[in-house]
Amino acid sequence: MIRFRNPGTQYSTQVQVIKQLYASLGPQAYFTLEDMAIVIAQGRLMTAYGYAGDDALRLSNTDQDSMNSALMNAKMYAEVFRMLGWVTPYSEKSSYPLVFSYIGIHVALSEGDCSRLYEQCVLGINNPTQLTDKMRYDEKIRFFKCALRTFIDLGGIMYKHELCLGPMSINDEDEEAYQNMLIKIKTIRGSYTRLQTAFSDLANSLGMKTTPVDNCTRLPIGFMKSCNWVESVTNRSLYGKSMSCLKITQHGIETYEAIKDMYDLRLDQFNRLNKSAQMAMIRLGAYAMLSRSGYDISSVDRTIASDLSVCRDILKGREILFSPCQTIRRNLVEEALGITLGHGIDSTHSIDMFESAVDERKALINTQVWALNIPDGAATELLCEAEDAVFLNRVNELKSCGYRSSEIVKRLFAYYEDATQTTFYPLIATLFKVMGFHCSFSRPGDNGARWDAIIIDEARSIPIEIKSPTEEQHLSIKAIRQALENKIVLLSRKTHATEPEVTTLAVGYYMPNERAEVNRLISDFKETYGYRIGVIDLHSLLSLSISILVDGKGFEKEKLFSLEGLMNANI
Amino acid sequence: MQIFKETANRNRICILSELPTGIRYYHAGPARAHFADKTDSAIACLGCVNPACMYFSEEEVCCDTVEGFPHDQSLSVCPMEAMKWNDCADSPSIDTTKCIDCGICISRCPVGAIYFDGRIKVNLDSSSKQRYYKVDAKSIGAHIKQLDELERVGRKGVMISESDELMNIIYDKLSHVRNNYHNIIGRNLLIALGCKCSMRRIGDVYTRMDAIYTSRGGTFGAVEIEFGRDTLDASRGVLDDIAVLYTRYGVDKFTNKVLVVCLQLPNARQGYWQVVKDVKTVEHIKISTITIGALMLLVWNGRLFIPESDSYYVDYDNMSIRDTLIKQIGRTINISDKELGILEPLK
Repeated sequence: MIRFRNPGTQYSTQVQVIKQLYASLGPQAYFTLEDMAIVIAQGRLMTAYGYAGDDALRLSNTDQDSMNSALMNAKMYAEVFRMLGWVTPYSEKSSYPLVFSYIGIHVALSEGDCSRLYEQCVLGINNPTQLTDKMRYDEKIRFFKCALRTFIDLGGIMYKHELCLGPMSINDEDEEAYQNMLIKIKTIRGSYTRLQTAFSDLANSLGMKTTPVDNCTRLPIGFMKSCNWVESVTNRSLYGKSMSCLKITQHGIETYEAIKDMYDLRLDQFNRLNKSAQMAMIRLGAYAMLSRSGYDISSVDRTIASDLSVCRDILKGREILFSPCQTIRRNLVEEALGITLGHGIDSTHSIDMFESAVDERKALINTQVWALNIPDGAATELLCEAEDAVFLNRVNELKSCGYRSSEIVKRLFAYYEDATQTTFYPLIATLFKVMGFHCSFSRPGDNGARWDAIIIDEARSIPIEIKSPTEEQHLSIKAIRQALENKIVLLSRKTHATEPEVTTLAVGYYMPNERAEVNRLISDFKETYGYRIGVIDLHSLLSLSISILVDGKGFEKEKLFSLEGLMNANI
Repeated sequence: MQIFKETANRNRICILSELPTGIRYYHAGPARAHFADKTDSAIACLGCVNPACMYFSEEEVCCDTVEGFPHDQSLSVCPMEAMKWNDCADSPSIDTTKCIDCGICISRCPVGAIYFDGRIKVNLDSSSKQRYYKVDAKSIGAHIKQLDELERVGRKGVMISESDELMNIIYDKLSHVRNNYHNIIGRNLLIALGCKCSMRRIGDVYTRMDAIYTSRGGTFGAVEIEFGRDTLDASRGVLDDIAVLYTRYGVDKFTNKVLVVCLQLPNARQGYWQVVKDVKTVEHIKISTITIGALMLLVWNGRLFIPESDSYYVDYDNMSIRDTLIKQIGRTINISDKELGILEPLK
């Protein structure tokens, strides 16, 4: 099966990026991924962690290429542009660096929206080519021509996985294979289970999981939608259940009708031609693409007439469908077109020119750790609710089984993994009460109080935003936003006494996945509004409480009122 | 190296024999252009070389008040991608199954050839004032120059007349629009109302706000666009947006006139209104609120979005934006009290 990588960019962005790249890198003999990354970032066509321009490059400057989002972005564009034939390797020996192709330069210099040339480039995608000798698949196909034909032959509508089972997995020059593919898909249709089985079998045969196979449909669907060949529709008839499918448009049908009888030149046939025919075919292919895209090529009419004469016996009066920049190495293309690319100044860009800010970001991941070393006892006077008794009994049971405090924490933490709001909110209130804070929780559904629990203090009350593990396992940015809102609401409505500098808490089962992002948001809120937001996970709260209940050791409680950022406590 | 020139993707070039003195819109019919000789006529689609009904300029989608704000660069005027160019007819064609009747394309046609008559249509009946020429550099140049001049021609009238029935049809369509279209609907309406508006790219989770805008009057703000019922997310979102714009881009929190664009105003009992008031009380920040329907009303009446003087600030004490709309449109609005939550909360 053809493995289309899944870079998710839109047509308009692709065109903007190639224009920007050419404007900046056109004078260079060749360009590297770093050149691309810097131009794309400085053109603000990519971001890293919400930053654009030089800041994005600083946050991308890391020794680990896979963590370098600017470089990864550039690589994604390079792959798409190479597929579209807009860029091509500078040398025959390696994939990088790159040069702009003849067609790529036309796209870059286009003053319109160049949608017609884009469409020609999408139709030009074919396999195999001289440029794709390291692929893990060997299908011989002009994919989008075959896909359009398949849509038409299957009644105009297809589900995305049928693309994998169908046109992505055949040689389109083998008519029998094509017809068998149609029969296979028609046989699968009618039963969603059959489709799932067929798709899963396909993934197994490729040694892949189903998700990456599914991802391979993103790029072709993106291309087809950009060309207005297909559109999304909801369909029940294919598999007896409502599914988001693709429907060929009138333009898609017309496009197939226009190309179906063209002379479709592939690499194998090209290689069998003599040199003069090869040269002629390259010129005819490139000029035909430009002509169909609305370019005025009348100045090369005589060349075209001469080339048509050379290829008369092959073309037999048919128009040619052949994209040389997507199929043939650049030296031959340039020889045929009488042009020389790859001349100019050396590459000038390096990400190392941007002082790395990666460590600054890493520093944001830090979590403060509270020591459990102050003699303390549980505030039993506060533990008078039924929910408190349930928790204390559970701890006592574990204690009587001989478990140490760390083991009790571990078991309780696992026990509450599936807790809903109804269990989790009172649990959090109980834990704070064990520590000696007067904490009350709101019943789920009580919209009057915006916070889920509150530590009530004579002058320094703390609102608590709680996320139960069934709402979200890892605390998210959403909880931090709600903690800020709780603080503002409390200061506005004055239902409990507090002060602006007293913390507002977000409590969840696990710490946030995006710790750097959450810490940065907390810091942004402090800088903008002046409020402290503290984040605590269940494991830390259990550690604090069990340490007090079982080991008689507590923590410096004053710290809670001024907590800012992520807090951790482990027995 | 020979680089070829693109030819205009047109069969012929249309130029008016004289510039209209004014254009008047009508509901259920194409606009009529008025000429100096006291005649008037409906003008057919000019087949603009760079059709404003289909594409914004790059400047319009770039709110440069915040330097370096990373934004989606889609220039498509139709948020639903319902408009395609018909090469044969030299005019746009509209897929009525996708169109939500927002009317943005109507407001951008230089001659009022696009109109609403139960659905959005394009007038293809040529007027005697229209002349057609062979496609060449001279005719294209004259055509482009005339399009510039047409931008300065005064416009009057109402493009689409509002009614409960029409708003129900439109809101029924809007309620079925997929999530990834919500932001672009909001962005494109704000641009149609004279704002420069930049929208966060789809998938960019780090740029928090849905969009930023600068009104014609110079007011800047972050935008949260909320089609769902949880408008509290939007009020929380704007607090986040203010912080991000302040710490990363140096935008003062008091000059950031944040705007919540929602499909329907939140119900009176929802926490949103009280929280908006709390934010004003504690932070002295006024969160403006407007609905998609209200934005459409402004577009249909050829108005700008004027957020100056906190005109769209509403909270628990007054949850209606009707008076502001009446003031900005200059007449009463023919939408019933509480209808669809467009001007007042539904409940």
